[in-house]
Amino acid sequence: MKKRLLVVEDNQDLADIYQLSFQQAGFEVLSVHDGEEALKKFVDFQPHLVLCDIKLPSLSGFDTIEMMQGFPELMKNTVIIIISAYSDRKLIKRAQQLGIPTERYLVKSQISINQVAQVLQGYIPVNEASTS
Amino acid sequence: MTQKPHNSLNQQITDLILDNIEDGIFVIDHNQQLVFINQGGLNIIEASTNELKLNRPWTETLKFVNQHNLAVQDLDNPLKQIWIHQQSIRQDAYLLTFKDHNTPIHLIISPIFDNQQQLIAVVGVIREMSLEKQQEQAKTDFVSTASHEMRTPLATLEGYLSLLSKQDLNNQAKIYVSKAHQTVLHLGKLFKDLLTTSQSEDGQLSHKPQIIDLLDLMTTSFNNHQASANEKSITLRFEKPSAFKQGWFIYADPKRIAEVVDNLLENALKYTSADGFITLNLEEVDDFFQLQIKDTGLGISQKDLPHIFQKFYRIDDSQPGTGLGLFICKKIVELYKGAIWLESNLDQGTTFYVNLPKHESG
Repeated sequence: MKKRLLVVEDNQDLADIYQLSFQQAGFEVLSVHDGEEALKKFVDFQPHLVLCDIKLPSLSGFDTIEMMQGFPELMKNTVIIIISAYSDRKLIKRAQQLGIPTERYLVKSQISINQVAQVLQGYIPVNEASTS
Repeated sequence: MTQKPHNSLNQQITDLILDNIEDGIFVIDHNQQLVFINQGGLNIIEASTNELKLNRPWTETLKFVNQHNLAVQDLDNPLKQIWIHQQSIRQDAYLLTFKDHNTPIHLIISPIFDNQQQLIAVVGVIREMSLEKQQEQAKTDFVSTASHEMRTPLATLEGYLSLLSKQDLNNQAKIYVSKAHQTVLHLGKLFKDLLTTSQSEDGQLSHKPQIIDLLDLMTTSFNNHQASANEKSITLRFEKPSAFKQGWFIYADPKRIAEVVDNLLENALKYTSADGFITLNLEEVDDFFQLQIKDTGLGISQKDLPHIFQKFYRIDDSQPGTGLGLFICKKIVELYKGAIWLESNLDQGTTFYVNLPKHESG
């Protein structure tokens, strides 16, 4: 079964790159451009993985993640990974406060797209093993 | 109360200094009470002598906030942290004055120990951030913002090259794309090092120090480089030290120290040929722990040795690199009051030494 990946990225070029690259890496990819759309699609799509940018048009990546965590049943099967152009310590700390460790805080241009694919493939959500 | 015989002239000079210097000086005792603050300190926090609350919790007088006047959390409050880590702290901070003004300061606080090595007081110096410093801050923010702005187009470029390389291309095209891709990855590393270098020069190197086990850290780095060493037929050894009872603990940011060890290992791997040896060592030397990374590689000429830690100094361009690695290593090591140096002979190899202060707990 293909793992489902929800990509939240407002930059059109990067969104296209993620869509193509991660499809090639074997994921079923759904791409959205802002936090509100992400929340709407989150419940229906039930992604195994969410790749989320921080700087988004209206609702920030952090706020979006916080609201996703308001669905604990869905969150049990979901791993969130942040990818951002910002590496400020304050932001990394905020991510940690949301339960996202530094290993799941990726910095754009410091990690290649192939490496991102490897990181994504490395995460098997907790309940996957029991349902497959 | 018996008067200790004292030199009254010295006392007068001390009072003269404390009353007149512009810097604020204060002392806090182990009951977290403010027992002394000089006039300079009162001026900085815009408090009159009447408003001064001595022998009361220091939090009533020294209010640490962020730029937006929100109180900082305990983890970010240096005057709270120093009691736990018992080491001097110097950093920039913001104070909320008695007139509700937000004032940027530079802070240096130092622990005072008694004869039994117990922490009994903290002495602090506060200095108002001059216009110069605020301009430096603005420059740092600019470099930081610029780096962030450049990351997105760089990531985009890398992504498209990656996709291109997976297309059906003729051999020549494949080669060109591969070279372009490598160059972009190199550019990404260069941006990262530039940002780190800029931050370290402004004293803004972001780091989160904690108590870490140096032996653990070196073992991880050693394991991570085994594959590369095998690929190049280089023998990578770690001569694990004999047990050290109190543990190999230092107080530093694990990511920064890992950066140093990784950098030195990568250099050793770059400049050592097949069938060569790279040996890691960890020793106790007085108040320091000493890392040694010894290779049997190319070595460095006497001519190049004095420049080795300079920014962008490259001995030659034969190997990929940004020319900033050792500069950054030195900045990180010095941040933790350590030292880094090397011994080398052309064609015989190089040994890098890194001293890091032990963390004495309790």
